[in-house]
Amino acid sequence: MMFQATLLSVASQLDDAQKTTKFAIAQLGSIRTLTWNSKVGKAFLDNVNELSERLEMLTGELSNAEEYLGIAMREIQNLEAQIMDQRMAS
Amino acid sequence: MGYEVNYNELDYAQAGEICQQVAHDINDVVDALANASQTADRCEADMNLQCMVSGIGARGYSVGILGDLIRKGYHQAREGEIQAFELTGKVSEAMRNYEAAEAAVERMMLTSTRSVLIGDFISKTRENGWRPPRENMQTFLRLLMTYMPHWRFNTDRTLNDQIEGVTKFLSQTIKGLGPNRNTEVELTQQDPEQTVEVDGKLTSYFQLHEMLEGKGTENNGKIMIVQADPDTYLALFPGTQNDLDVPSPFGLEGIADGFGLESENFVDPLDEALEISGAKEGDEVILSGYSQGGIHVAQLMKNKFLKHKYKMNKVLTLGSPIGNIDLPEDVRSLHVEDRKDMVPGTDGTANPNKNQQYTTTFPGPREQMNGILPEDGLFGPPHNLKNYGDHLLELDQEPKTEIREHLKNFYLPEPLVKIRMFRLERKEKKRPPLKEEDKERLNQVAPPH
Repeated sequence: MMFQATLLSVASQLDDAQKTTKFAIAQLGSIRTLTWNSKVGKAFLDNVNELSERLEMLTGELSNAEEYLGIAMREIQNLEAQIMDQRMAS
Repeated sequence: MGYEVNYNELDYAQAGEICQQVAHDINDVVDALANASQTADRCEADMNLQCMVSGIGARGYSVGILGDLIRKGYHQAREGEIQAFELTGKVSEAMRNYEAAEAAVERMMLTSTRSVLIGDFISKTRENGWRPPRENMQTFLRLLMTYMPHWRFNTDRTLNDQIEGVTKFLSQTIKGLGPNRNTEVELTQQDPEQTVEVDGKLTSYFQLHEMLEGKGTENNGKIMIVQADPDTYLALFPGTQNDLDVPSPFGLEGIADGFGLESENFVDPLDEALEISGAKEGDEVILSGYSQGGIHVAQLMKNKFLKHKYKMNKVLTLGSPIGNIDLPEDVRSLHVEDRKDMVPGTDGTANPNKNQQYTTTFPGPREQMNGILPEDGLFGPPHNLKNYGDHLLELDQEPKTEIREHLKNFYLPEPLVKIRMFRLERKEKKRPPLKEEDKERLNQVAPPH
């Protein structure tokens, strides 16, 4: 049970990280609504878009990790059950 | 400025703030992912150990893979964090570059058109009774700044910064070398309280200012505290006074106090006068100043002690040069000036017009003031207090639509107000008395051989 609780804390950290990343993406989105007419301004906006894409990729990776967390949980459950059985038998 | 720019100061500032916030957010993500991957690694190691102790051959690999996935995210976030901090730096640099370029262009334009500007300055000054109008005064001072030596007055800065720096330098030099360098401003006398009837509108300010300083040198050195209602007070500061016959801290040196010391030496006397008048912590205090008095009240609006003690967020100035005083954002202000009055332009910078800080400029004294305004005085009729009283009357009678609601904030709540005047004087700084231990130590010091 202790290992499952540890993985639950990992899940909560991943969830926080994903929420913060999505918030950062939304904030970067509001830069697009400002006025960027000059060449340098447009280059800056391109950089902001690049960062935004990177953060999108990050949320994708965090989603993958969250999905994989389910598999890891099941495996841990299984192993914990085996350990319990062993202890009962001995 | 006559050249095309695609720079929007507010947009850049907002973008800079967003990038900084995003960088900090991603920094939190980096920390969270570092913790999560370490926890996953530890969990895997502990799990494997437990399996070994229990004699279980099967091992879990999924937690290890989970740790790898989180680490991948960590690296992605780390790069995002660096990128976001770089973007913040770029925006700040762009803002600095823009300001420097703007200052350079302004200097270039001023120097390339200097003959026209000087000619215009002379002709407009002649038309205005040999007193430079406000705008020409400002332009002339800005032109003068372009000839300041670079080594002392860093010419890479904006002209406003440069003017502020020069004013501060000159004021501090005057304060440091002047005969009053070891003095401080003290409250030395209080007049009896009087009750005065006012109409509560803006002309009430003129009525009170005239009571304070409309009697020649009789009230030299005095400020006025007005109790407008039990929780609202008004403090009035006078303009520059002739301190040769009757001493006054509002002589020419008072201007140096305003620009060089940010009027810090008036904080204690003002606080004392307010307390004597019955003001308590948290009460509202409105400040009003004419000419030099406007510089003091604008500076006092920034004072942390006073702002913490009282609710201080309204200020009125009449014919004062306060363009270089950065009023806090929460301050609601009204600055009345006359286009033909040179004094508001003597700081080389336009008075503020932003958020809830308004400058209202009148084209000159009204015809009806002919014969009422005295022709003498260094700054002439446009700077006379009576002229500003007439402009306040104009604002009461025909308020400009865009500031109508703003003006109401300055109205006084009661028709009867209690006033009291306080005399301020420059006095020798008091030295703290010597402690016994210090006296003893001094007695043991051997005289020089």
